Amino acid sequence: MLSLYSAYGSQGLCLITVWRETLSQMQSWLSSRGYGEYTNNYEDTDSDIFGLYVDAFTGEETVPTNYLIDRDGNVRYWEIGEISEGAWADLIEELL
Amino acid sequence: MTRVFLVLPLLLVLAGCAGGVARTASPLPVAGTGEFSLSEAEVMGGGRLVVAAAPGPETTTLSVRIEQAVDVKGVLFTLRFPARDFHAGAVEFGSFLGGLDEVVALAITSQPGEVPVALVRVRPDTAVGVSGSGEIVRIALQPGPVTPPRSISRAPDGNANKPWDLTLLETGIPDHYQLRWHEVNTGDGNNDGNVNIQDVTPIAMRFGAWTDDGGNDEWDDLIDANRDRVINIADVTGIAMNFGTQLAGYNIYFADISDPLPNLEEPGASLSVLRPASPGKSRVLYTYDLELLWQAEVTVRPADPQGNEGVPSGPAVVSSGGAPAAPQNLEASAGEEVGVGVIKLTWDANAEGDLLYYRIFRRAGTGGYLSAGTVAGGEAAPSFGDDNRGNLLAPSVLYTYYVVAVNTVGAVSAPSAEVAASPFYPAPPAVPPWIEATGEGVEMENALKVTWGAAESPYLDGYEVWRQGPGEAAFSLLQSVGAGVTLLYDAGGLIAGETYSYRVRAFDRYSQFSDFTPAASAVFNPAGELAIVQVTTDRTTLQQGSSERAHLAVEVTDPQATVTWEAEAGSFPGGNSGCEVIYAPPASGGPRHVTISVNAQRGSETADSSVDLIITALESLGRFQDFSAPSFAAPASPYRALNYYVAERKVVLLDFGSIG
Repeated sequence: MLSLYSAYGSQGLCLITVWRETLSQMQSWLSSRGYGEYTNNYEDTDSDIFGLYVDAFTGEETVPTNYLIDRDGNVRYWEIGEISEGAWADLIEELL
Repeated sequence: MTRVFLVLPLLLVLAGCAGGVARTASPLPVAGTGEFSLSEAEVMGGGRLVVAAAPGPETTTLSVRIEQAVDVKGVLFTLRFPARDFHAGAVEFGSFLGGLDEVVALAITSQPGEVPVALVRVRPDTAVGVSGSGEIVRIALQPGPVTPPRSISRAPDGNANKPWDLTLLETGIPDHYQLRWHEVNTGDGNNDGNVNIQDVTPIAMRFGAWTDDGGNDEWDDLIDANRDRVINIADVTGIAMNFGTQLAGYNIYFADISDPLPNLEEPGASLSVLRPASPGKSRVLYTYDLELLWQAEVTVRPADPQGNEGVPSGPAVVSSGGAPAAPQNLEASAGEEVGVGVIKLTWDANAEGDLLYYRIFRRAGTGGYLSAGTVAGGEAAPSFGDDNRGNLLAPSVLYTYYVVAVNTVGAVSAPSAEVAASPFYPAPPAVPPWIEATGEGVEMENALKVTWGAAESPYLDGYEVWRQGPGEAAFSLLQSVGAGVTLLYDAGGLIAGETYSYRVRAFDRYSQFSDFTPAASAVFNPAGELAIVQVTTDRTTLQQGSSERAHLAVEVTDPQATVTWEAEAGSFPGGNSGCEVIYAPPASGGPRHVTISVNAQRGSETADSSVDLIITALESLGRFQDFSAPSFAAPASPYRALNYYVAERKVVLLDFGSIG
């Protein structure tokens, strides 16, 4: 995920992560893995935000789930489970 | 007098030292107290023996270990301790040099102040040596000295040490004879005149050999202490029983004269004849020329180096030296009364006074003659039961025999007439009267059941069940079961829906088989309802026309069921059958949601399930859902709705995740 951001962030890709944990929990977890510099994380302990997307798109409360949103705010692609970075890179390049 | 030796646990395991094996007398550090030590130590290989003492309130335990052993095939040593304070009790041999079937071991615990110990790997000339460190033996010392004290006399004693071939051989000169006999010193396998711990090694060297198998027979005869014709662990008993015996020569006595006859070769020697210094590996033959001035008994007695005498012989027999007459009226018989696999031979006793034994020769069919055994002379009605040394003679083979007589000077008679017979064997078992195979109502899951009727035979030992499975050209042995078993569950890798055939034959204790039963067949239909447990996919969304693939898997209650997959759109590049398939999205068009169905089939049973996949063409699936929430950037309050990034015309990768 972060490697996609590293590759395409300068071209207009924004990576947002919404967590089920509290900010302190996620910060500790990220720091322990060397991701402390990455700060675009949101707290969603009650799944309020996740629920919006489950209702609108997947119908399934499974994490991780990833969405690709274009520059006009349209959801263009989603996938449940760990993403295949190669396939997602192609999709991102198509939208940038 | 009787000397009682405690032969320790014939933990048999032999080892031995080949001629080329290095023997090292190593320095022997002693751990613990200086009262305990090792002496006369010999390590067949490299290594260091160490003794450690563990005093206890009742028992003091001595442990002998070998350290830094390199390719060791045996160890011999004497463990010494204060005789006034202790006597040896229980002995446990360690397994460092091998298990019970690999080593010949002996420990003598009847000696005051010492325990001679030997452990030698069987057939050390070919055995692999052992390296490393480990315990050799553990000996419990009990308080108090040995009672009773050991015998003073150490010359060969007891009936087992009487010469059996003491002979006055006529010389052709009236009244002049050559007295001759072979030495008997039971347990002296290395033929050095002394029965001691060193004599364990020859047993290990020749372990399993027969004294009449044509290889090293003279040496084997010396080692075979119990004279049962085979070298085995039982022969260590001969060492234990005669431990400490020393033989320096023999005294010869004539009539009632109390003084022995003088030594003719070494005048002044204390014994009538002296034992040769290096007799090799053959039993020592003693001779003494004498003139008998009147008829009287001539006897001999073994003596140790101090002149102590052992067991007196019986009187010498007179022999002309000529060969005995050929044994007469040899007959062979076989039958139930003789025994299964046995042929009994009888013949008339020879009349010669110097007869020593008969040797029986046997051949199978038209093969060559081999020695089958010996029978001692002197029997009024000699006979020999040939059971092939306990292995039984083979059924339906004609065995031919002849017998020769051998006298005390080794002269052999002409052979007797030949006789022939075949050993008795009972009829083989009758074929089991019926057999049935079924897959219905089988008590064991996923199995076929085979049953058969008991075969009739007084010697029935069991049954063999043979099976022929699908695609197999012939039956093969599935399992052997005991005589009381007439049922077998076959649960080994059966394939659902396939037919398996079985047949059974009985066998008896003599390895005779009945004919096979006819074949009985059954179809394997595993028990339990056919159902799909779960369907899994490694991804739920695939892009139309892309190289993305979903790996689908199904778990079915019966793994042997036939599984097929169907999809509304897309394809299965590797085929659509099997429990695992690969799904590829359609190149173009098709529905957004694709249902992939899976069907499992077993005979007439079927089970279905499905999984839905999303096929996207990177078209707009809907507007994003805006939100605001606490973030790292503003942990105290909701911050930066997603709209903020959209307004900046960013492409957003939105990830919902969780630490757990």
